Parts: sequence; C-alpha cells; structure tokens
Amino acid sequence: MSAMRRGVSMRDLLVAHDSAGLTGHHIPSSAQSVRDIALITRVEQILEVGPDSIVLLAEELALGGWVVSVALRYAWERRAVALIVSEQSFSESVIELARRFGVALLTTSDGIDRTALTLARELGALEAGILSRLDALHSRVLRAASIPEVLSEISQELGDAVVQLVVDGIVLESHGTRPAEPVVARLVLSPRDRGHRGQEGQHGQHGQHGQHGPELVAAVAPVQQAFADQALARAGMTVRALLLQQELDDLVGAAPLLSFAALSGLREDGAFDDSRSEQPALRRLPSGTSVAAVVLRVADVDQRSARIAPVVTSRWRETFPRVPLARLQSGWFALVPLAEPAAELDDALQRLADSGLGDLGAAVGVAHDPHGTEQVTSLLRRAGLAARLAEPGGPVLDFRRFGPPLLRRLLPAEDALDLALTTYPALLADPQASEIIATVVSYLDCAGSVTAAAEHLGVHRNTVQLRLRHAATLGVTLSHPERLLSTHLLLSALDLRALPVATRPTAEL
Amino acid sequence: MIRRLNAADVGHLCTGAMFVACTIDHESSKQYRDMTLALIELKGGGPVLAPVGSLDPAAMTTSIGFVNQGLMFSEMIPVGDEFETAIALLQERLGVPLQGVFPLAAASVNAMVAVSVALRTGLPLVDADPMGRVFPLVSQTTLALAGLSAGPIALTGPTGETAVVDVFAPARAERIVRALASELGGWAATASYPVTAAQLGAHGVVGSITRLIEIGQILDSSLHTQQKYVRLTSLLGIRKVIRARVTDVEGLSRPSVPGLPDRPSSATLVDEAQGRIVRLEIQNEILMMIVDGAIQAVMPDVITMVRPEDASVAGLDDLWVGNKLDLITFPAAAQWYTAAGRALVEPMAMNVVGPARGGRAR
Amino acid sequence: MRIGVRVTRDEVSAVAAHADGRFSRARSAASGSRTRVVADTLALLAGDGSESVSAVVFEVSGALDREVDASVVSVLIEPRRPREPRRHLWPAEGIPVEIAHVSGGHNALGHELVPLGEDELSRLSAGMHAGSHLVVSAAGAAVNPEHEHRAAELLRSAVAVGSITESSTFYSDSLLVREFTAVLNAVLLAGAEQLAASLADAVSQGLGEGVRAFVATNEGGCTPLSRLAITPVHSICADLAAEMLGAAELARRPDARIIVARPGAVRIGEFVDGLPSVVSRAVLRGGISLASSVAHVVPLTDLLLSGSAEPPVTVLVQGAERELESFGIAPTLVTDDDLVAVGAAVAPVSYWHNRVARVVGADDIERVLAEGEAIARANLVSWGAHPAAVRITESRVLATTYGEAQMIRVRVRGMAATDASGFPSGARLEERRA
Repeated sequence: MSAMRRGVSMRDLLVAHDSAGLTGHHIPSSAQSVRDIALITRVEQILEVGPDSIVLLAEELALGGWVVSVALRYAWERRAVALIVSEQSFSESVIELARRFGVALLTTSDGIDRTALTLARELGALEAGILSRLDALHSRVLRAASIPEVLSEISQELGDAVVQLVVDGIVLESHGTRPAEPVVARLVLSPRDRGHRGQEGQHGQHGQHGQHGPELVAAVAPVQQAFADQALARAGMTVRALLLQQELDDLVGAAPLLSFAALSGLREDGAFDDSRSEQPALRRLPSGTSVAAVVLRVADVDQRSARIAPVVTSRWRETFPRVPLARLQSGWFALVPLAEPAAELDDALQRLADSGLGDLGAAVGVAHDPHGTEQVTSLLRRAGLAARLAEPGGPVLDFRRFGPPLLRRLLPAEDALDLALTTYPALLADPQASEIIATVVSYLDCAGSVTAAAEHLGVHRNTVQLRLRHAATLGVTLSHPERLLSTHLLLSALDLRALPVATRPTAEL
Repeated sequence: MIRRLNAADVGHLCTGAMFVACTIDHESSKQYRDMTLALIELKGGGPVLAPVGSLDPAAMTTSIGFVNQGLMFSEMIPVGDEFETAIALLQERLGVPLQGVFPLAAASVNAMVAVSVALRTGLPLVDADPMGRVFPLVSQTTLALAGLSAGPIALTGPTGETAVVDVFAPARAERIVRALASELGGWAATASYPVTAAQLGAHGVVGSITRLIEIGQILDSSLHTQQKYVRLTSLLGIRKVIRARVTDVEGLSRPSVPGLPDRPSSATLVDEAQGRIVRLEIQNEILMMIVDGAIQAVMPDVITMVRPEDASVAGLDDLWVGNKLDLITFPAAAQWYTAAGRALVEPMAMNVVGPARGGRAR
Repeated sequence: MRIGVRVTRDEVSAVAAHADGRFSRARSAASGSRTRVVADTLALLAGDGSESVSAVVFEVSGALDREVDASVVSVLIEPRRPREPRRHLWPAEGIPVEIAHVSGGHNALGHELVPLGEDELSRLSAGMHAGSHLVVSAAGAAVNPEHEHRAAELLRSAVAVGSITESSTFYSDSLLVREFTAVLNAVLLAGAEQLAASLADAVSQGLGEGVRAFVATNEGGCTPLSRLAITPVHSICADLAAEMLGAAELARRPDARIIVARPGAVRIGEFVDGLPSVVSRAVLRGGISLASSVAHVVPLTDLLLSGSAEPPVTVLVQGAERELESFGIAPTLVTDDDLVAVGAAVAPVSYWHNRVARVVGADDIERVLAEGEAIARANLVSWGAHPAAVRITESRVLATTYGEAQMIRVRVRGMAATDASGFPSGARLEERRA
C-alpha cells in the first residue's frame, strides 16, 4: 500500500487520535511525516513496510520484550517512523533503543487492531484536510495579481515561513521569516524546460550555479516540507504566468524606445556612427526636460537573456517603477527623467548595480542631459560608451566623469600617437604642438567655451583663440561638429610629455 | 586414543560443561565432579575415555542423562545407584551387553553424570554425544535427526522405582519420559538412544567430551583472560567477545520490581566499547543475543558468559545490575545448521521474526 | 529519635538519628556486664528525654557466638537412603553434625511420595541425648512441610531436645542448603537467646519500658529483637547491609550505587528506592550458600568501576584513605561516623512472606498475593507499625524451577520505617506478641 505523500505530521496524527489508548514512551523531537499505517500480522510483512510508516505489531507477534527490540530495529531499517505495540512495560533499554533509532515507541491499551483502524481513519482525515487547504491556497493564488502577493499567500499558509522567487541564486522576491533549522522545498520554473522538476527529490539540491531559471523556494520547518512541496507545485503555474505577463508589460512599455536604439546604432555593438539624421519627434519627453540615458550592458546577453531578463527587469522596476526599460542586443536601456537632483539618480543607479546585476555580468553606464537640449541619440551613445567602459559589478559610470585613465582604456596613448601622426601629421610636426593640443582639448572639455578654456589653462582668451586658429591651419578643424568627438578623444588620449622630441614645446607665446 | 581420565581432566571437563551451559545451575555439576573425584581417589584411577572409532563398530552404547520434571536433584538428591539400575534394565531389554556410555548432552550436569557412571560401571566413556551442547528436550538430538530410535529407554526415579519404555519416535519418548519423571518424584535417571558405535560415530557429535576438557584446560589455566579468549577462539570459532555491563534484569515474576530477580528471563547489558544495547533472552539457557535490536546469535548457537577478571564461568547469579561480563557466542555442531536441525531446535519465536538485515533501507 | 546500636564482643557503638536529621553518637568498650554498658549508652543518647525514642535497632553480627560443643543431629527425610556419604555444607564451617535418615518426602506438587518413617523416628529418638539440637529436613518441604512438622512433633514428644529447627523455616530449592542454614542457626541459638534477653533488658533499663527493640537483618531491614532468639542466622552478616544503609543515609542518596571504603575493605552495593538490592541467598566464605536474603554487597574491583555510566556515590570512612586511593576515586563524603550504627538506626522493619503455592489461573495468583500482603501487613502491625505506614515493596509470584507450571513461589516483602508514629511508647511489643 502506498499513498501519495501529503505530509501528515506524526504529531498531528497522534494528537488527532486523542483516545486515551496511546501512551508515548519515546517520541523523537525531530518532526516526521506519516504516509502509511502498517499492521503487521505475519512475519514477512515487516519486510514490506514502506518509509514513513507507523508500524503496529499484532498482539500475537509480541511474544516477549525482545520482539519489541527487534521490531524497533526493523522499523529503523525500513525507515518507519513509529512502532506501536499493545500495553506492556518496557525496560529503560528498550526506550533507549527507540531513542537511538529515532523511532517513536508507543503502546496502546485499545487493542492493536482497533488502534490501527483508528489511525488509518485519522490519517485519511488529515490527508483530506491537507488537500482542502491546498485547494484553498490554489484558488487564492490564482486571484493574486502579482508575484509578491502569491509569495505572501504561500508564506501565510506555511506559517509565515520564508518563500522566495530566486533566479540564478539571486532572490527577486521574498516573503516571510526563516524558521530555525529549516529544510528547503524547491520548484523550478524554467521557461525553457516547461516541465518543472518532480515533486520529490529536489529538496536542498541547488544545482550548478548559473544553470537555474526562476525557482520558487520555501524554507520551512521540517514537518512542513511535504506540504510545502505541494503548495509550491500548486502556485507554480501562477508564478510562471505572472512572470511572463511582466515580460510582456515590459515589452509594451519599452516599445517607443526601441526606435531610438535602432536609430542610435546601439544595436551595432560599439559603433559610434553619428552619420544618421536625428528625429527629435521620437523623443517623448518635452524638449527642455532634463533627462539621463541609462544603458545596462550585458556580455553574451543573447545566450542568457531568458534567465537574466526577469532579474534585470524586476530589479529595474523596483528602482524606477514608472520608467520603461527596453531591450538592446547588448543589454537594456532607458531614458530617466531627472525630476530629482542628479545625485539621487546616481545613488539609485548604484543600488541597482549592486543588487546582484554585477553577478549576472551587467555593467551600468549613464549620460546626463541636465538642460534637455542634447540629441537623444548622442545621449544614448554616450551612455552606451560609458556602459562599455564600466566594469560588471563595479561602479556606475557617468559619461561626464570619463577621466583620462578611462579614455586610455578606450584608446591607449601609444595608439593615440600613431593615430595622431597619421591623422594630424602637420600638428604633430609643429614645434608648438603640445600647447596647441592642450588648448584644443581644454576648449572641447569646456564645451567650446574660449573663456572657460582660457581660465582653465591660465592664459588669455586671445591666446586660446590664436592657438585654435593655428590648430585649424595645422588640420585640426573644429567647425565640423560630427568630428568634434573623435578629435576630442584622440587628442585627449595623447600623452603630451611623450610627443616626438622635435615637437618639444617652446617657450610661452 | 583410549586413555584414562585423571582428576585434572575431570575438573576441566566440569569447567567446560558449565561453560557451554552457563545459566544452568552449576551446583549439581560441581556436586557430581566432587563425587567423581572422591571416587577416583578411592579407586585409584579415573574412567576410560574412548574415541568412537576405538570401539567395535557393532558395539552397543547408550546415552546417560537426567530428565527433569518436578523437584531438582538439589532437592531430591539421587542416592547413587540410579543409572546402574537403568543400564542393567536396558541391557536386559536389549539382550546384548552395553560396551560404552555417552552423555545425553555434553554440557552441564549430564556431562558429569556420564563420567561418574562410567567410573562406577567400568564402562568406557565414549567421546561423543547427541547434542554437542544442551537442549531442553530429549528429542532434540542429532541421533533423532538421523532417524534413529530413542528407545527402548530404561529409567529410575528418586524412590527407586523403575520403568522400561518401548518407544521409537524421539518426540513420543520426550513426552512419556517427562511424564514419568514427574510421577517418579521429579526426575528420571535415563539410559536412552541405544546405538552402535558405528551409528554414534556417523550421527553423533564426535569428540565432544575432549572438547569440553580442552575448554576447561584453557579456562582453568593461569593465562590472562585475553589469552584464554585467543585460545578459545581457535578451538571453538568464537565470533566475538562483547564486554558489557548489566543494566537491567527482568525476571519471570510478575509484576517485576526493581532489584534482582531470582530467575532472570532477560538481561540487558550495555556494551563497554560502543555503548550498544545487548539483550539476552533466557529460558533455562540463553536462547538469543540481540545487539541494538539485531539478532546476533540464536539457538542453536551457544551463548555464554564469563567473568572478565579471570574468564571463570559466570552464572545467573552474576546477572546483577552494575556487574560486568564477557559475552561469548560460538556455533554449535554443524548438524544443527541444516534445515532439519534448525527446525528441531530453533526457538518458536524465530519463526515469527527472522534475523534483522543489519542495513538501513535507502 | 531512633537509635542504632552496633554490639560486638569488644564494643558498643550507638548512633541516635534525631527527628530533625541530626545524629548523635556514643561509644563504649564492652567491659563487665553487657546489659549495663548498652543500657548506659542508650541512656546517654536519650539525654533528658525531651525527644522520645521510637525504636532501638541492634546490629549483632559481631556478637553472635556459636555454641562450641553443641550436639547437633540432622534428620534427613528422603525417599531413599544415600548409598554413599553426602557432601554436606556444614563440614566447611567446622560444625560437627550427626546424620540420621528417615524415609519420607513430597513431590513438587506437594503430594506425598513416600510415607514418613515414623517407626524409624521412634528408634532414632530412643538413641538421642537430651539437650541435642535437632534439625529436620525433608525432601519437598519447601512445597509441603508436613513431614518436617510431624517429625518435629514426634521427636519433641519423645526426647527433651535443646531445640528443633525445621529446614522449611528457610527458603531454598536445595535440601542441603536448607539443612546447612538450619544447622548453622541451631548452633547460634543458645548465644542468640542470651544476647536477645540481655539487650531487651538493657533497653528497658536504659530507656524505660515501652521502647521497641529490633535486630538488624542481613537484607538491610530489621525485625523484632525476639526474632533474634529464633532465627539468628538472618543477622549473621547484617553489618554489611547496615553499613551500606548508613552510607546511603549520610549521602542522602536513595537511588544510587554506593561505595563504602573502610579500613580493610572497599565494597559496593546498589540502592533502589532507599533499599539495598537483595539476593535470596547469601554466599559465605568458600562459596557455601545460606538460605537467607541478603543485601547484594560485593567487594569493589577496578572492573566494576571502569566505564560506568553514572559514577557511584563514594563514602570514605576515615582511616581507609589508602584503600580508596588504590581505585583512584575521590570520596563524595568523608565520615568518622560508625556507618553500621547509623544504618541500624534508620533500618526499616521488614517482613518477608515466602511460600510455594499451587495456582490454576490468574484469580488464584491475585488471591495468593493478596493473602501474602495481608500476612505481611498483619505481622508488621503486630510489631508496632502504623497500618498506614506499611509499604509493600515487593509482591510477586515467581516460577519455581520444578517445571510444574501451576506451582509458583509467592514472595511478598512488607516494610515500615521505625520512626513512624505507629510505634507508640507505652505498648510493649514483646507483651503483645506473648
């Protein structure tokens, strides 16, 4: 006889059987569930007792105290949870044996046959009770509108035990409190592998890291394990549906942004092609709204998006509930209106980056447009560039704070020199190349302000203007905006102290 | 080799006879030992111990032994001529002279009785027996297993009254002799299982007297306890010696009370080395040894107890809480491990609960 | 207040156990009249009489003397006369005994096997010296003592005997063990009678009339002093039990294994519910069995000590440090008290009911147990115990070794503490018994 495992607790069963007939001589403190009642009337039956059974020895078999010792041994070998025999006095050693084997030992004054019948009936009733609890939980879960609600329902049913939605070892959602010395019930919700893994045998086994899709995990008191398995199984479909729905919502919300991505060239990994014309109309935010572009770049995102997407979108929603996030080939991007001071955005982004995204290989870059005047495409490119330079798991990188060290990562000084020698041979050959380059870089750093550059360099405005004109004669033209960025990058990357000897700076003009 | 037993041999034989049946009262064995020793001194020589093969194969021999039902010999003391009377009656009935005697059981008092009878009658003591240890029933013999007759049986009671029973089936012999023993006053001194030396050699437990003497030689020696165990192990095939402390003794009395019961029916000990719980089931003899709920030894295995300090044979009196004993088990004669042998001697309870498997289900 | 007195040939040592748990002591050398010395010692402990004395318990194992040249005749009643001399137990104790055989005996069911040889008894009595101690032992008397009773009557009417002891007075499955116990008892009788009388006088002299006197027994209890004159053998090794009892009392451990180290001996015993474990036969030096219940006290060995789950309670009597040292254990308690006297002071009165009965069903068993308990209670109450203070510590049936299923042995033990209010001063025990 075998029953589906429904996790009736032995204590519940023995308490439910409240007739005074049962006397406990040893009840193990660890919780155990019962799934069968086995009345042994013939010897060979004892070898067929299944795990988690309560074994009752028929009166005619209890020939002496030693039979109880031997039966305890069998019970242990067969992984039964309890042994019930007719009323008799045990020596302390028999009880000690029960303790060692962790098998409950009880006597009944009711008659073994009657006790077996009573226990079987109680077991059935408790199992039925558990089924109706599960059914009620199922219908509550079906009505839930969000994953946190589902988790809360399950947690309540499990006595406020902790229930979590976990992806790749990262907890997305959590509800309840962790009981002391819990066991773990687990249900895998892999969208690729629709069949969730069996209801049994998955406890506590956390597969190889990075191999898991979303999972429902409950850490419960041992006695609840079987019930928790059942509860998670009932909720699994709903959680999967809610996850898919969220993905869909994200797609819809991000649809308008997708064209930016198409336009900005961010779809092509690493290209900074500014040749396409802009379409400001696509910008949904009114002109003049300060905005920041955020790019979450993930290496190999194609292979892993199915598993990573729920985490990224979920984390994003937690941080920026009303800002849609759009998919790129190499990650995700969003345009965040800067209602708050920029520092708060930075903090929020850093929290996002720290919330486990780094573990997934996501790097975060941001570019600000405090006056709402920048073209969206270039803003996105800057954010994309920042994301490329940012380290997964490291700090969020702001395009404004690109320092020479970071630029050097993009274009090392030696390469820059080579490039400059080819692109600007006349400039490099000029004896005043050093001053001229410093002036051009300063001018571009200061967003084309001669005054600011002069102030920065500690020279007169006229000197700056003189050098810029000189630069133009040496082939460094600043009148073509589309070339400004590359010029800026290239010249910034040059190590002015390492220029060829011929070009050593002379005295100040 | 035919030889005459000396006083030392008789002493060793007694030790060996007590060793293989440690829970049966040792007083009677010692009493017969002392009587035999006195007689040896008087006669100036001991009885002849003859290997089965040294006898004419056609020579008629008989088993010698007390069958008890009622007052024990300690209360209803034999006067000394009972077996001689029984042997004379059996000879008369068989119509052939008996040329050797052997004990009904090579253990406890019956082993000593045979020596005494051999000495008194001058008949050789044949180095064999039909049990190789002691079993409670007359019918539990290897000769019965071989289909040999238990009868005719001649017997004498405490009052001097006698009977000769013409019976074939050992099971019937057991019932009739037991009933007679009760009626005669508590016991019957029997001469039974008349067999030829050839039959005894083929179906008896051969060499059992010598083995008891060898056991006694080891136990009575000045060796250390552990050295004695080493010797015994190679002699008997001892499986294991468990040193354990008595923690609980239950008696047949009801209700049981704390303290020391007069006749323990089970004793619980805790193994010194690993803390395992050892349970001995006692019914005249130790029927079974259970270690942590697993049956470690059961009839026909011999289970016995010795005192750790000197490996002297312990008895029921040693089963008191706090006392420490060495528990020894070894196999009985091979005949008892056949299907028919087991069926004849295994406790009924073994039909109910087979041996535990020892491992836990996965 | 209860007073325990250890009386030896050389010394009288007494301890008073006061109601408030205190002990006071007195000790004197036995010089001159024993009665006088004991009386003075008791008077000293009783003090000004502000605390009444409920009982005096004597421990006399060191004062019991065997009659040196007693003439003892052991009459064995058996179906047949032995063909060779028996190995009796009394030669080992050096007691000279004359043996006579008479036919008779009962079987395990109590049926007569052979009629009692009355003619043989008459012939036997004719050749007997007056003043001989007679011991009568019949096969099967534990089940049916009828032949012993009749033989004793016949002999008593025929000869002026010193004493007649029937073996069935003592419980054992062995005829020769019962015989030996009766023989040993017989040679102790004369001395015990004198001692009992002297001690009874001392109590009335030292404490006045009406104080109950008891004698400590081998199993750790006590019985009325008058019993000492009848079965002195039950007191011959009472010192071992009393010493354990005293140690348990001082350590206040009613359930423990107790070790007592005193000069010359270290012994161990087990206490359950305030009483020492008891075995139903004593083993004397040389392994001789005595049919007397005795506290199970054995010499301590390293083996008994090693690997014990619960450490025993160790009471060290001053002066035995070296003995204890060899076992490497530290004492729980060190005392200079006379543990034997302390134990005697607190020993409970104890009554054993032992008989073999034939039962057919469970009702019979209930009946014989109830009878046994009633007999135990009646005896204890007649000895002065308050009915409510009587505890039945053991009441059970045991299988006999006879292999007759319907024959059982009934064993009941009743006890009562001597400090219970049921021991009223004024009612004199000996008078009531008489």
